[in-house]
Amino acid sequence: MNGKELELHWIHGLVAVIISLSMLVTIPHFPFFRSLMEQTSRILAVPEYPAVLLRDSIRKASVWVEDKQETRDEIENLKRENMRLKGLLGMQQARSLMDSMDKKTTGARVTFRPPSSWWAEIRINRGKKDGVKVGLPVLGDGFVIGRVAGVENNSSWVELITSSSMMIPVVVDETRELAVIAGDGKGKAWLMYLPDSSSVSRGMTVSTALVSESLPPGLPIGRVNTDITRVMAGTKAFNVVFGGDLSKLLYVDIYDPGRITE
Amino acid sequence: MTWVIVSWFFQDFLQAFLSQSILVPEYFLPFLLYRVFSNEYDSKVFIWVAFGGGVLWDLRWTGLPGMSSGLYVAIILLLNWIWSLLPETGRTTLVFVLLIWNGSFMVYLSRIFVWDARGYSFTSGFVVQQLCIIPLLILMGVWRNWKAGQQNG
Repeated sequence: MNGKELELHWIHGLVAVIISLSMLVTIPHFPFFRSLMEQTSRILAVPEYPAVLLRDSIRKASVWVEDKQETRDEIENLKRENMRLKGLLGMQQARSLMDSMDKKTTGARVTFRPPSSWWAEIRINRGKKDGVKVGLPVLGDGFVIGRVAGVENNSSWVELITSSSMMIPVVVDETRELAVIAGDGKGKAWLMYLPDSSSVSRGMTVSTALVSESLPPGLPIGRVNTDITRVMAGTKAFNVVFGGDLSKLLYVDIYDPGRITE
Repeated sequence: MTWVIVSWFFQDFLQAFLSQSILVPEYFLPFLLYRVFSNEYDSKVFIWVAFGGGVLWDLRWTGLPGMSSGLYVAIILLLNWIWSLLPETGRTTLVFVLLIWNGSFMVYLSRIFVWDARGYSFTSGFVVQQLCIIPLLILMGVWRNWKAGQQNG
């Protein structure tokens, strides 16, 4: 740029700066200033439209994703709360049952188990003076393992559920089907007299039935172990796994539903 | 001239897109300075283009007509004067790029001063803005070098 050009360049520049400063000082006070700004915005809205459209689309997508994430989180929270409440309810019911059973059970120690009738009977150290009566259910780890068969003053005999002469009416909790548990005298018991069409399967729980004369209903016994192993004349039988461990009978509980508690 | 106009509209597009949520990088002024320093065109034209672009920007976004236009023109005058003081051998690509960057930097500083903006969020926005202009400066430097190479032969 030569001298004259530089001079003109400076003149134009200074004039532009002066005009700018004058505008800065005066125009905001003019009444037409706002309408001028609005007109400019309106004219420039045309080339800016793609930017506004893109911005709004991104914003909507981000809100949609956030909402979806919030909904998912809410569902997870509700699921967790539901499980927690179910658990609490179950715990309350279990606690209530435990409390009820604790009040109606008497602990006893197994004093004798004859090897010749290992799976048939045991002797315990509670008798008549402790309120034991014939027919009372005997529990091991909270599950029925037998019932009182004979009572003396200081001891009683308990017939085990695996005894070959033991037959207890039971109900399968999941299907509400009635059956009979019969011991085989060899450490096992069978869930018998279920019809061919029965939907009982492995893992279902078994408890004492309402139809039993001596045992109160609802006492847990164990679980169905395997699928069909015996089929007899229109019925099927399932092997049962006991909840109480009959191999380690050291202490048992005698359950007296008619016992008056304070 | 087309690139200067495109740069103004690109800056306006970015401002509309970001909806004033962050400071938009200055692209208009660097293009103006590039044209003025390159001496390919009459610099007076770019003085009035800077003025017009600044007035339009102010009417659209800042609400202070004359602020951006005065700033742009003043910065062009100042930096062109500094550029003219440099000997031919001193007009390297690095100096070229630094002067253009200085022009943008002065615009940002003046806006901080006018709006009295402070604080971490503004500082971080300022840093992001400066980082966004670096690719443009690099491209300008590369382009200038390439053109100089073409001219030299």
